[in-house]
Amino acid sequence: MVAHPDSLNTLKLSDHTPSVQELRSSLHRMQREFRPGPQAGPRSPSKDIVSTGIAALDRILPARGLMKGTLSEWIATEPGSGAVSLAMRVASRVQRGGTLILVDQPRQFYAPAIQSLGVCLAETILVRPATQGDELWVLEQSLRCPGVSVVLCQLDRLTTQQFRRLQLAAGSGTAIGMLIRPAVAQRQSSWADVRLQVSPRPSSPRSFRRCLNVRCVYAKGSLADQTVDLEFCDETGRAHE
Amino acid sequence: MSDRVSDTSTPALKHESDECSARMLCVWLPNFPIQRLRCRHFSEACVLYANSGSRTLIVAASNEARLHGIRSGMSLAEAQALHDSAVFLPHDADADATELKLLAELCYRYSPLIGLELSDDAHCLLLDISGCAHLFGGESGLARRLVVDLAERGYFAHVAVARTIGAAWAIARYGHCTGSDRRLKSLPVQALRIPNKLVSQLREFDLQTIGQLDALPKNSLPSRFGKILNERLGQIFGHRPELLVLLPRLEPASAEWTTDEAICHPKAIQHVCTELLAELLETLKTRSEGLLGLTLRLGNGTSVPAVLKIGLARPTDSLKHILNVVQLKLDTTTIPEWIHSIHFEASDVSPLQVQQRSLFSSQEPIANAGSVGKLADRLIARLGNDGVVHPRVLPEAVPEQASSVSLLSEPFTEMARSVGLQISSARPVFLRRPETIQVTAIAKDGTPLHFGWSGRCYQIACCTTVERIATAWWQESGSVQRDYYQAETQSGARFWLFRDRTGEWFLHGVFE
Repeated sequence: MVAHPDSLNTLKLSDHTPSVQELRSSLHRMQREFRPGPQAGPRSPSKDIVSTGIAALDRILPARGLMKGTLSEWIATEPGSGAVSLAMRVASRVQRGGTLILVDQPRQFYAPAIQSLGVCLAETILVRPATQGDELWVLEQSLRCPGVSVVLCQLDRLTTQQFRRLQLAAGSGTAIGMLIRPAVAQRQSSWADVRLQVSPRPSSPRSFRRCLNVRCVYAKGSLADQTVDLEFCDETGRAHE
Repeated sequence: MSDRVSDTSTPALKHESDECSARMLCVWLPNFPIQRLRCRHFSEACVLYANSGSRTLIVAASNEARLHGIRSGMSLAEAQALHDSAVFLPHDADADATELKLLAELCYRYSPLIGLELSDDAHCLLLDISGCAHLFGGESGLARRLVVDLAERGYFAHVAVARTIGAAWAIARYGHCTGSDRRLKSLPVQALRIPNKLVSQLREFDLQTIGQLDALPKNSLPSRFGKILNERLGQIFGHRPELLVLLPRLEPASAEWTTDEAICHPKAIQHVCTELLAELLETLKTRSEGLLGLTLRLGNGTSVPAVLKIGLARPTDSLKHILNVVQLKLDTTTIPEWIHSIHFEASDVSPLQVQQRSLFSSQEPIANAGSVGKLADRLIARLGNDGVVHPRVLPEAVPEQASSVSLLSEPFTEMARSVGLQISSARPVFLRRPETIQVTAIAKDGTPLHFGWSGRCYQIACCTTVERIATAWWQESGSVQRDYYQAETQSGARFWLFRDRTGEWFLHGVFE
């Protein structure tokens, strides 16, 4: 079979073909226009999107918040990074009106700290599985339960198949799954809709306010790699950019 | 069918009773034997008879039969002559008593103390509602809800609340008013719960009302009418005590299956469990109760049976849900390989909760409220009671003592929610066991400069001022004196360190 010479001409890249940089910028523009959220785009805000309560953090998320029925990964780059505290603050905001399930295999969650981050303890259930098998079972069951708002768990090891099962479980319910992962998880594949990397930043010696750098390293169906610096006031619990 | 509620909580009566006085509620079910049959969808004219010595007498008659002139105490032949197309049935007094006890079970949601009237007319329930009424919006609210509950089961009832059993009974049977002494005195003498023979004697003396009797000299009454008259008069006005004879609770509902041919296949066990649980729930349904705790005994015919205890977060009558929980429990517990008998017992029951409907939102919250309870049941069945808890804060200064947990079955009270100490400084989300670390400090009691932990050396860039936590020497757990620091490394990571009174350093938490 011989191709027609005219058709070959059409495959040639002409001088008017846009460069990769131009394509990327136009893609960015289109995404910004069609991003679901209260401020941008023609789409109306969906009731399935819940704000994190931190405006700066919402801005780097593709849906301007966390989507119900999805998983989000919070990667702590090092011990003491503040990833769990940040996730807990967000969980307290997302929890309102529903139940928060804290899966705590090492039995180390500290109730006064959780309460000070705004979590309603009366609506919180602490689940303490003995094995990793039980832990994953608890996560699946909790994510599928329609009355649960948030499921938060620290998971060090997770195979792709296990992750996929959790994603399917989350998709069949309305809970937001928040998985706290160690730094090594960055090199592993993920089934989460959003992957956030939380790194500590040195605070000002005068204020001693907690400073964090949050980077959206992956967002499903959207270009990621957006970063925000946050500063938290211990007294008020408010976040500043 | 309308019910009358004699609400005696009028201002006049409230004024009489102080906070400590008892409040008694009487439920009278008029023509109860006929009502019981009507509940079984029996709608024709009905007459009940019973043998009395050599005669057969009418015990109760429905309103349709009464229209034809049939009355209680009439002979059966006479009643048949008056209305032969009516249904004539033998009276089953035992069935009446059983049904009355079932209704008493229903009333336990209103009061823990329930008794039966022991006089001739036994179709009454007596409830001691002292201290219970405020839970239902007052005595009037309680009485109305009770009447509605009974009406839902097809029973017409008269309910009255008063200071004494006698007054409550009298008003429920004969009163249309409040329970003040003046009103009680206007009631007929039958309201004193005295035998019919004595009522006839009093009428011979033209003593028609309680007031007329009360006006007579009390010491002259026993010689003429016996001791009971003075006793009843004293009881109705509260001058004499009267004990409420409590009704024993029904035996816990149970279902059992035994066989000579032992079973071992999980499908067979599951099938038997399904049958038994369905039977158990059917029994509870007649009591309007839901299952809150279940004991399962699996016997292998030789040794002691394996006992599994299952607790549920909220009362339920859902067979599917209970089966699910039982199956999870069986999966995670070692049970005998060969099973000869399976025995279920409802170890804990509670009235089924009515779910509140939201005014504006959709049906979603109603479904959600139950779904979390069911989730908790499944989690408890697999992880045990200790594995599924509520976090709690305690008013303790020592950090590891300030955090606790409570079982889901325990009510999470307002007190438990707000008893934590007001602490301005931050606490780590994860609290570890104090772990000894090597710290270099400026001085012996100075701030730390760097420390080693988990095979790494951390340089401290800045830290908070010292927070001293000390407890008194007389405390049972021993005296504690610690100087805490929130230390921030050069990268911004934060740790919670403390130095004890010996100068040794510990890592107590990581601000993850």
